[in-house]
Amino acid sequence: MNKNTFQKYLPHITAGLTLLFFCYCMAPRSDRGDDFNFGKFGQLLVIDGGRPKPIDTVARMNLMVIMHRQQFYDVDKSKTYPATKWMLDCLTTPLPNDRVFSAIFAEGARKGVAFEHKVFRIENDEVMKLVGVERRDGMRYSVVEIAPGWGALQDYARQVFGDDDMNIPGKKPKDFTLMDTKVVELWQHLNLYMKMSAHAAPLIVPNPDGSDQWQPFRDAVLGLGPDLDALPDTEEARAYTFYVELLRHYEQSEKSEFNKLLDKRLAYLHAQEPDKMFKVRVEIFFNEFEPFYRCLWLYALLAVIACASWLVPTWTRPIQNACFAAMGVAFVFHIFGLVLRMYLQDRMFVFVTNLYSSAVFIGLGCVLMCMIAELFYKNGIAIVVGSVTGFCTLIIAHMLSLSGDTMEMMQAVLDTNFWLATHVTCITLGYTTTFVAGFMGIAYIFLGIFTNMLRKDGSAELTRMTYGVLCAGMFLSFVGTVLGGLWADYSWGRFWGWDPKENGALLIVIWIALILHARWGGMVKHRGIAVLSVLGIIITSWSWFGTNFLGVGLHSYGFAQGKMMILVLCDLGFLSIALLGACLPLEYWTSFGPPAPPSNDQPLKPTIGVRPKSAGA
Amino acid sequence: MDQTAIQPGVPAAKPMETGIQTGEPPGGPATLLESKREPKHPALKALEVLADLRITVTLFALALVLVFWGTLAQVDHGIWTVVQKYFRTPLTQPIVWVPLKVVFFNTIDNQVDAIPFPSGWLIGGVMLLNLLAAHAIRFKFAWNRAGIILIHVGIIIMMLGEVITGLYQVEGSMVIQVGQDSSLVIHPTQSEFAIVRLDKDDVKKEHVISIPARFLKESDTLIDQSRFPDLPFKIKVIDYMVNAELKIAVNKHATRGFGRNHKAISLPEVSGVDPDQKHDKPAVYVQLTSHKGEDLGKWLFSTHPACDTQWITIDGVDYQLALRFKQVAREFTMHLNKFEHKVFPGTTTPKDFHSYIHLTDPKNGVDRPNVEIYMNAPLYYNGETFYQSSWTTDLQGRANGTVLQVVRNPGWLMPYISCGVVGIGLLIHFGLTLYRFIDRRIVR
Repeated sequence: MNKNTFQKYLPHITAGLTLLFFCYCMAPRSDRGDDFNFGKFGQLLVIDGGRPKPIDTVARMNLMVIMHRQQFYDVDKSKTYPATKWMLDCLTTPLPNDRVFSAIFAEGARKGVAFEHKVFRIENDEVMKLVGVERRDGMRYSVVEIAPGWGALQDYARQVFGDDDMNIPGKKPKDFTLMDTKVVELWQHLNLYMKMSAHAAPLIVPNPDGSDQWQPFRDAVLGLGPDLDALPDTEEARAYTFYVELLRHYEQSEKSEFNKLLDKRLAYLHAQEPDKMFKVRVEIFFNEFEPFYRCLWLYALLAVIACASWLVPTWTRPIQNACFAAMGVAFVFHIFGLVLRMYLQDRMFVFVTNLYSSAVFIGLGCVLMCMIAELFYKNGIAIVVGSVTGFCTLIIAHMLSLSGDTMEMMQAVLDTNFWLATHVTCITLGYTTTFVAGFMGIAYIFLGIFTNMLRKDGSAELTRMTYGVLCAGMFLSFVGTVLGGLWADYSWGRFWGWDPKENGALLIVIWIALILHARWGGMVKHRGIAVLSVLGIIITSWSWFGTNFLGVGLHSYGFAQGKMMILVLCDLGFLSIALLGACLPLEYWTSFGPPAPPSNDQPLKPTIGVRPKSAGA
Repeated sequence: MDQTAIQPGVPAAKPMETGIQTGEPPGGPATLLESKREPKHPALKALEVLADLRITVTLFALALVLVFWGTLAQVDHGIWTVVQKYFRTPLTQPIVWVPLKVVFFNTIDNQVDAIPFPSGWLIGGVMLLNLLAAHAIRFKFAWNRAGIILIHVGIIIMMLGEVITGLYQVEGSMVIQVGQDSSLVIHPTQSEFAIVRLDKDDVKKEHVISIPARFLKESDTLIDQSRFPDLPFKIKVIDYMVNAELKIAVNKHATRGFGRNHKAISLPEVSGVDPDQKHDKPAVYVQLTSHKGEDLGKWLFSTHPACDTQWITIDGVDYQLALRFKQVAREFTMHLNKFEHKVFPGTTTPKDFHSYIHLTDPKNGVDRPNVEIYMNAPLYYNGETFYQSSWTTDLQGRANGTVLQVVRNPGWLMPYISCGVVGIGLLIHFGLTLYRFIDRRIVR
């Protein structure tokens, strides 16, 4: 194959490779025959956080919160296991003071397997000192290691939370120090672990009356008693008996009995509730596929490759075409992930239900918008902007997903698919446009200062792209904001209440209107639009995240401080880029400065922002 | 290539080179005006100055800052206080004094010093004038301007809607216990000092003298018959608290009634960003004096539910005294048949709250036994809208009654019209832009 043919077919090859990569990620992972069927255990249906879900999700989310991993990595054995293995260990290792379960799982209590698992994340030196553990690689600690520091931890937590009996007032979240936040986090992780080990969550045993008011295993044990033979033949009792026997088999390492019992139960459940079990399997597929996480790394890779493409002039265009093709494939799977989410939540066309999904959706919008822009202006800039914004938003989404299940139920007032599908989608797409425009502004500033790509038509072309995105942004933000007002009017009789979130949306509308009017009035040109668009990122980040920090409620322990700092730092970064773009005289920009060093007889006039005449020729 | 086109702040010397037509006539407003040779009328000149796009952009920037500060101010103040102070300020008070704390993004703690800033309705008003002036001098109908005109007409409707809402919207709430009737609408943002004399012949008939709380806010204010002719005594305000809690304690600040063994402890105003959104419970200490100058004692009144009704006898007539939320009786009656409050299993996240109401209005011959009000499904009746807002609980924490939000807003339709008009305008305008753009691309 000669060079030209290769260049011609490079996009096809790349697209094919990307597709293969996704297929590999989607391939089902089967259990090992000679071990416990952890994967099948994950298929059991439970209710947690208000919705039915496979136990696989519960195990992953709990491990995610505690360890920041979706798979259980056993440090001592240097081996990775499914999260369900860790959960099973916890379920069969009763807490020392838990008489109910110590009686049932006596063997487990003696072994104490789960106490040895190094899963608890302690990354703060002060907290390490408080608990009495040494800093080491990985920074994950086991119950056994933390136990000696339990008293100190409890005392500290009491000072933070307050205790009415001991007349300790407690602290307000806004007064928390970094250490307070970290202690609260560890405290919550330990509580989550204890709640799970004590079988207080999730809800496992179905309600006899068929409603979704299920019981946790603990309540069932207390209600039905440990004597399995005396139980009546009800659905509730069957589920209960099954769990007791299954966990006993696990406790006593009876692999084949465990697997056999599990198979029988799953066959029964599939026959009983085929629809629910189908959904369960879809959810497990979704959990294992992790489509957004795969897209994240792909976008990062594409951003690097697309940037590098300019270094090899003869290959620039073919490489960019290949990136475009790969991006298209990634985009399809990005959408596919969102569609799966919608299916699992039973909310068709509702892309955004919470902060996490808004980040995922903004990423999708950024990629789509940039691919459209790239179709019009085949200059590769949109590919870089698209993959960078896609990567950044998915990183944000990933950070948000660390706090637990991302498919939580909606508050009553938000529980309306029509408004979620219209207002929220519009508003989020509005955020998308300001981010894309902002990153195009950053591209303008960097390309202008460090390269000569903005010479000739480059500057006007990039500005036109930004302008088009801003026009779309004007439309989406305005319609989205007004739809929000209509929803508010319809829901609680107040079209506009000047509350923080509404004001945040209004700020974006005003900002875009300002840019567009400034342009129409000739007050800003290419560079001005770029700078103003960069500032638009700051405004959007405020209305996306900042407003959430204002009302630091009881539910946002730990979230507020660290993330607030990240937000402020990012915004300062964007501000400095904007200032650089606004203040650096044009003669210092590679794209606009003189093409060659000026000769001595024609001294450069120190006029700020005005390009020397010689360059215009 | 004209490189001046990339410098901010330099007026356009020739048509913009950006390649995208905005719907402005070629050459922009400047050339349009220059083409008029005859000397301009001063009024036209003034109009031109007023219509300057630089004013528009400045106003946008001011609005941006104001909205941002108005959001930050809600950390320390109630949403309605902020709205009245920053946004819906009457044009007679065009300046809002923004505390330094807010100016510096809540990073310093200085609530005392403040800087002046144009208020919401001032900015909005000038924006409206600017917009009208711009359309007045540049008005020339052309199809490619239809979008812009529609957008701006819609914006005007929206701004007027906000004014009408600000002036005429009335919000209140109705609290109904399960199995009980109510026709009272309470306005928790407006308190009043009520002096009630029961009629001797008909116990149900009340004679009420109501003194709005705004008269009580300044200490040492004297309220007498000159303002309220039926007032049986004189009232001198000692201390007014915007929000207060009550504690049982011996109290020397009051010499009669409830206040002798209860203390009012001042609380900060409920913050606009408070997730619970409770309302303020004002309290006031007053000195009552008879018309003859006789000391009737110092009293404590509060809108807190723990504060009992207090009585005073003057010249043989009994008066009931209370600081209460303004309440207005409606002609209809609502009977709460049932109230449901569901949460998602295993969580405290509310799934649904639902009021089943029997609505009767004998005067209008209405009898609707099965009215359901729940989230996102309000009741529209008699020009008012009733929304499910919250619920009351008994001592065990079980839901035993409903709280409905009652809203009357004569301007409610305007945002809907505006939304449609602007939406169509934006579609036309940016659609045309996109069409021209793609057209040019294809030609190329």
